[in-house]
Amino acid sequence: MESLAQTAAESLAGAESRLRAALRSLDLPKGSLVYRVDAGGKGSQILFGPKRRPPQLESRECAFLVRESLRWGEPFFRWAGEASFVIALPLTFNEQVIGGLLLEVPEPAGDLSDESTFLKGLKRTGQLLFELLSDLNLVNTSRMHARAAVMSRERLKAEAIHEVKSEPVQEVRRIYWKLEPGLFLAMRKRDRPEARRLLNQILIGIYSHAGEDLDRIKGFVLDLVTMMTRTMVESGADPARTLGSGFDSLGALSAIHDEETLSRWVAEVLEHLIEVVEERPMRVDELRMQLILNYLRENCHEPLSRDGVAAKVGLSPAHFSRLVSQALGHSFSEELRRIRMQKAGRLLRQHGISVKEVAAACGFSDQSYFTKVFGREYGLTPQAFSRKNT
Amino acid sequence: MDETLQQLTAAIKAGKRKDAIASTQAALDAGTDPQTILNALTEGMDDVGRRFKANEIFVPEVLVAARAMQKSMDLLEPVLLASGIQPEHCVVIGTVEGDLHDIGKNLVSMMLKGANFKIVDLGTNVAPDAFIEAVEANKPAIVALSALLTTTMPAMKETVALLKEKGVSARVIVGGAPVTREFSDQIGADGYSADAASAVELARQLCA
Repeated sequence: MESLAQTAAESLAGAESRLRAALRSLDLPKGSLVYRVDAGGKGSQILFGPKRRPPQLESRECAFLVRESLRWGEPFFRWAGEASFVIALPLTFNEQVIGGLLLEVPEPAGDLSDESTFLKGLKRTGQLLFELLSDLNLVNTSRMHARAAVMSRERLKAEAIHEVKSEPVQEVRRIYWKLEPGLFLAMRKRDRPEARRLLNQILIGIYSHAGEDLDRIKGFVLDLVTMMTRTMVESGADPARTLGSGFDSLGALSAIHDEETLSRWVAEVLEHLIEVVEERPMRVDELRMQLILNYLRENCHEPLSRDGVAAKVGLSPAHFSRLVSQALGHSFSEELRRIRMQKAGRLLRQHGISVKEVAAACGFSDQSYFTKVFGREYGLTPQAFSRKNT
Repeated sequence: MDETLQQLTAAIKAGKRKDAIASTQAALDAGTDPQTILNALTEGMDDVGRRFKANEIFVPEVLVAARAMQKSMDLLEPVLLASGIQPEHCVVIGTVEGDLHDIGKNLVSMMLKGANFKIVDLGTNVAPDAFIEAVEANKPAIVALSALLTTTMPAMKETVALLKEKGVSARVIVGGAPVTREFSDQIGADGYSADAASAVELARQLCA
């Protein structure tokens, strides 16, 4: 009796001439190289393109890409080696994977963003190849569709989880930011009940959003302690004393696995922080200035007005302006500009973040205006700065 | 009070669940009157409520105390029932429609349980009609409505209006972060409390 592998090989050989003909009729990108490999990613056979140019991918990579395509139930795209893209698809016979089809395309000069003509065209090519393999019965279409449906659900689930996780963090931070001025003033005035009352409002926000999930509660509480400590250290508190010589505060938190211990930890750490502020009461103006600067750093991606920020820290616009210029020697808008430009410089030193994203993250809705302000600060365009510093 | 009951009260105050369970079981095994055990529990929880109201402790400390009390109640309740002791008053409680937050409501209901009220907890996102159904089924002395979001305050108003329209005799109390006494008066609620401990005092007053 004929083995399945033999049948598969014959079926593939039979379809191969039709596949070659169909590939020629497809409008493949210039410089495309199409080849097939066996199930282990080996034995590459060039089906289309310059015979002299060997495939860039190693067999291990080919096998991986084909497996990924099977997993996602759709053509799989990625960068391949130097300056080229690859599309991978599985070749199946009945239920069995007998190899893969790979297309390598040289990377063109110019725009390579998700919205570029090149990448859009490549996605279309991937789809055409998939349809072609379907027509030739070289891929198990129903299995691929089923996988694509599963993965699409997984993707939606992951996105939903991400959204659920990130939104409450922002919500709890908003509660904290709203209460922080009053909280620090209460601590400075040694009004412990008031400080605890405000902290309890934040804790109610934390427990409401985290539900029964101990790890999430720990995450939120850590965020709260970090925000408080930062304000304290930036206002001149001793970091060693603040972060805890009496308790290995942050390290101990990760080892907590029950709510009773966590409750004790929260109470001890918060009482300790209150105590540290009481030991070195900051002057009201000094404290307010610190709160203003923290607020600007946290929110500089949003449109901020002098009056709005003044209201946030509970001051009249005139008092606010006087305080800022006395403390910093320049105006509110100048300070905001400096903070935004520092952030822009920091972000542009990182890989993989576009100028548009940096502008938005620094509160500029107009990219050309951002470029102008940035140029005045750094003497370079954001693009040139990024190239020079990454 | 004997030593075991003192230990029980101390365990509730400190939020030590295992100690609370052990002391409750020891008291039951020793044949202590279940009402006396309940009094010891209530004393512990009252103290926690008082300290919370006075801003002496933090929310997680109240939560662990309430959970310790709940564990003790799980052991005690069947014995109380068997000896014919039942909470005198019932409270129907829930977070109003559109609001999925339950921490405030849970704190209040745990405190009320500690004060020996029977609690019918309808959970979160409770429609006005569901409150009416629960009132008809349980004949509570009090209906307690909670909201954490400002956006769900209209739902609270709507629920109070429906309860009044249906001529429900239970007193309606409201609370939650955005709720104020003015708002409570404005929507015609019978009582407002700013925190869980005051809610217990309010419920006791309304039932007196």
